[in-house]
Amino acid sequence: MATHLKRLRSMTEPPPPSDPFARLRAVSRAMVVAVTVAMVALVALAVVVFLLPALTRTAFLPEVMPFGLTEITPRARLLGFAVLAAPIGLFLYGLYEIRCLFGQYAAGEVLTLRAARRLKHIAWATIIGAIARPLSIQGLFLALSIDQPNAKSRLPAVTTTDLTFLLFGLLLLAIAWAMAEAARIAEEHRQII
Amino acid sequence: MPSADLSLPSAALSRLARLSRLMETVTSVGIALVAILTVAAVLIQDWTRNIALVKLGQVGAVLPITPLGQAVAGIALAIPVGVMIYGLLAARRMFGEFARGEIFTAHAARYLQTFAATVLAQAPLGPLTAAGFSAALSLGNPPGQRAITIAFSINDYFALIVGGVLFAAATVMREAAHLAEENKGFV
Repeated sequence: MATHLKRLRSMTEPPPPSDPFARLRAVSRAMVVAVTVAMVALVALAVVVFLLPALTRTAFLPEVMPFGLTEITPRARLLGFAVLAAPIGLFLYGLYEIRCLFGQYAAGEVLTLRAARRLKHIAWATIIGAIARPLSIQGLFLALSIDQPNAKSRLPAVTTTDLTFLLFGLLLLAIAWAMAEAARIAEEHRQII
Repeated sequence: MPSADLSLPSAALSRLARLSRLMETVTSVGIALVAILTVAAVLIQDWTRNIALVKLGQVGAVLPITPLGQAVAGIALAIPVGVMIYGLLAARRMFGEFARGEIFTAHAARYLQTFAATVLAQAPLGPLTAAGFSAALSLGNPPGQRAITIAFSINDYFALIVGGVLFAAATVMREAAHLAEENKGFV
């Protein structure tokens, strides 16, 4: 019995050296660094791309040129940045939650309500992001083409990628829900112990 | 003395069973849609052009869409879509287990791990598929004008992150399954 209770504790408390989550903790530490770098890079990229006209054209070449746009004015660039601010913010929030989740895993806090809640937040960010993505692309087109009223978007409104990410988000939400239920029970046991 | 059993209370279990049955249906519909839309995308010229635009940007706007190019592009596209469908089938099986009340089992954890691996695989497959797609469509160009385009998308990075989170969740679930198994044996 003592062994079983010890293992249950190892899922909710900072673990001993030979815990079953050693690999998860090591990978999580690396993921914290990777996600932090990604967050910084995303912000830097978004700002630099919209501040330097040459980069705006290069960075948005795949998205902008199929729109049929030939020139992006400073006003359009500013509007484009404003339109993208919301999805970038959502993306950053999702990344922040992921960073916190891996931080908790790295600290040995694995099957806890807090971790399950973070998983739920990540799932919601993925679902909202999948729904918002096609709207953002259309919004970006409208913003960037404000000085070219005859421009016509050639990109499809919704792609299978949006559908796939929506499905990922729903799957993640269901998994998070199961994790939350399990964590609740594990924490109840922990309190009794 | 309290039991360290991880089985869920009946109310939570029936809620999860209902949600899982719904998710089984959603996943089945998702699999069917992804398969049908992919096949349609390589059969309908306008849709093939759309994929070229999404995957390759400006290059995709000028590449010729020929029957041969569409057929070869279909093969290039079938690889990531096939991997994704395989993963979604594993997710569907996982929800099937959940619906039967088998939450923390080695099977369910393995299904989730398979799904996570297929999501992670989309990250390297993204640029490779774009390259294959461009090579296939450029078959319609005369010799000397054929080229391969490599394009990276934020979706590839996103697949890496979501796959990483799913993989971590699968690891937690696997350990919870071990624990539940041990407790079952103990009880």
